[in-house]
Amino acid sequence: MTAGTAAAPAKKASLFGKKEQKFLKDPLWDTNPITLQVLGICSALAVTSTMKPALVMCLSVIAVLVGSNLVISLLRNLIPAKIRIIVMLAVISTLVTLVDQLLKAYMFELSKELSVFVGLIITNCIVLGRAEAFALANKPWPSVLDGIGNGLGYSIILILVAIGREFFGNGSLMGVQLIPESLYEMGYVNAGLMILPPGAFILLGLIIWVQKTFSKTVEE
Amino acid sequence: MSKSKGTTYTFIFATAICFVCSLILAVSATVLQPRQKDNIKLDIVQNILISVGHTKEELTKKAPAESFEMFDREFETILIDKNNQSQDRTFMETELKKLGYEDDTLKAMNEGELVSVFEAKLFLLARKAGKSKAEYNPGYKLVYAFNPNQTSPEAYVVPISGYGLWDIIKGYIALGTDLKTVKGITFYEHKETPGLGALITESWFKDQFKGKKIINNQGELVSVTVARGKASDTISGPALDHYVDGISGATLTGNGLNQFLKANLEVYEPYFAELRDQTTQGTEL
Repeated sequence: MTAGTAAAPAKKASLFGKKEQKFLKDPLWDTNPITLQVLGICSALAVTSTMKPALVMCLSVIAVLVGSNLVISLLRNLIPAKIRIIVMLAVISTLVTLVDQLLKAYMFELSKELSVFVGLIITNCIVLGRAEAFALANKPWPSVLDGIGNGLGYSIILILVAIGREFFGNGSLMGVQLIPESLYEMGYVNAGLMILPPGAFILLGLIIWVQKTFSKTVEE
Repeated sequence: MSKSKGTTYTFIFATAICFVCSLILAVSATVLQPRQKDNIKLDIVQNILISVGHTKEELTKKAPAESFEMFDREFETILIDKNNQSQDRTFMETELKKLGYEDDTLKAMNEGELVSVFEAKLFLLARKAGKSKAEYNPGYKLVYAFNPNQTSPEAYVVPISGYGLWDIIKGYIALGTDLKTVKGITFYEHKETPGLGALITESWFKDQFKGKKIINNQGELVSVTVARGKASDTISGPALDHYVDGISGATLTGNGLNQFLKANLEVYEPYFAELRDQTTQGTEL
């Protein structure tokens, strides 16, 4: 994998030119995969009830996204157009299974924490979406940057939703109790709705609303 | 992107991709399997240790080998059959040898592993013995007696397992010497929803079980029940000894836990009752 990343930028003079920075920065806000491309909603709902699984999920998705973008980009001239989706899925699922196996072997505690959701990265539309929309038509280095950018964009939203859900739903962050006991005694109650899937929908909707107001994107 | 390439090319490419992908996965699975198995083995032993009061922090600081040593030093494995008689492992070993297991492999397994292999082969063994499975099954159960000072046991740990919401949850429950009071509970394998059902592994949830009673004042086995929401909202008085607070958003995990905890304890109850009789006689003397 490192061989591919090293070979590609050698051809180009600037590693982080304006264009390259754009690949990295755009998905964070302007073309955010969750809020604007509306991809990967499933996992955004599933793993965000507390911070810890959300963070590990973000890291795993970034790893898989970079890996799959790189591999697909390297193979882009070889993949027959007719079976490209299946090829992409084969590559993605191999990578995800590999990540899952590695987690089980070297980070056992974390893999227990995430349980079924590592496997679900395969069905995360962002990974397939970026492979199809970007990596298939671009050189390896920009594809890697695009992977990192989209992974981070996904992570930002996931973390925002997780913060909202864990704070309002459990009164804690990263498992540390933040809302003091005295407040509960005064009658404060955790918003149980927040830890259920609808809570994630509502938060996600609010985030998309806020973002669209700021960036003034209009849907046709 | 590629222009339209021939069907032959497509087939060759697809075959190549499949081959490479499966090769990568096969190699990684084979290479990583011993490590993964060690992790699982260590996890089980650590969970037994944690159920009697050792802390996760204390154990993670130690080398894995030390956890295994600690387990060997502090625990005595008791194997009982369906009539609650203590058994040794010879029967399982001789039976499994009939299926072609090697002596060395069998010797290398601890009782827990041996029982699970034996149970997996029950059907075959029963057929070899010419009996029905129910007739043949010796119903082996494991009890880990916590005996750190080599005097008399301070706690008894038994495995628990059953369906939660998504899949089987496995764990251990430790009971005090009265075999009524819960000393600790752990869960080491589950596929519950992260952030909801998976919270059963959090210490605030598990710690609630400490000091709860599985036997009521009438001497009946009532197990410990996970309530819906706060237990004290719906239950009052001495009954609170048998209830712990539930996890909001994870009612079904709690229901599953309630069911299998009670079912598991019922299986052990006759043996526990015997132990209780022995200890009360002991104190009367």
